[in-house]
Amino acid sequence: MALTDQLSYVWWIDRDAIAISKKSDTSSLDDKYTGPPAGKEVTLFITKYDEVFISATTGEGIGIDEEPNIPTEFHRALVDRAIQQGYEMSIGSNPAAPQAIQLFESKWEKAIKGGRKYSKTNRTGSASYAIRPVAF
Amino acid sequence: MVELVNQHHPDVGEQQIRIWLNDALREFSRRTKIIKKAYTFDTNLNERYYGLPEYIIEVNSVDYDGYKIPRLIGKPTKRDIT
Repeated sequence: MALTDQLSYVWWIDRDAIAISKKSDTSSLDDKYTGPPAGKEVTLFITKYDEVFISATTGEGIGIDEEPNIPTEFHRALVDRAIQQGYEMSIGSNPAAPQAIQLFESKWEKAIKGGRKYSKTNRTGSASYAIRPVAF
Repeated sequence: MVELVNQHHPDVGEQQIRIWLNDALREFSRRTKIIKKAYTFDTNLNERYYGLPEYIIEVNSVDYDGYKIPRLIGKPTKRDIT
């Protein structure tokens, strides 16, 4: 298949589905976006949810002895969020709960901020530049 | 992780803690978009629409037959429900 043929394909999202279609220059609305041939490989580059924690040791999901796929430095944030939710449940009976909620919520938001930063760097790191003046 | 939560909430059961941890993990994944993967499938003859698995938060880019293809701005005038 010539490269120009692949470049005439487009994608869009509609009703929780991805559409792959060949775009033609024809003026006919019926033939402008046609389906692909069979057996062509489509690769989606996605962001996804992590798996879920399960009660079993191993299996479909994160077992008791396993760890989530998010980087290790953010695992503690999940614990902080769960602790916060626990205090929210006991807000009527525990006088220390409002303060604890505030503390753990702030830790959680800080972790989210760190996670976003981590996600955006794509592991390329940040470059540090120093421009040195040179006398000619 | 469950033990760490239990230190603050000793009366709460493991199942409830797992629900909280799962809520946290889901929110963290959605808000940070930290897990990036590739997902592959094969096309069927003349079939335009392919359902997306529930675990996908967003599609960032698409390769068709080994080449990156552009995203259509808007939707086609003629729609179908296949």
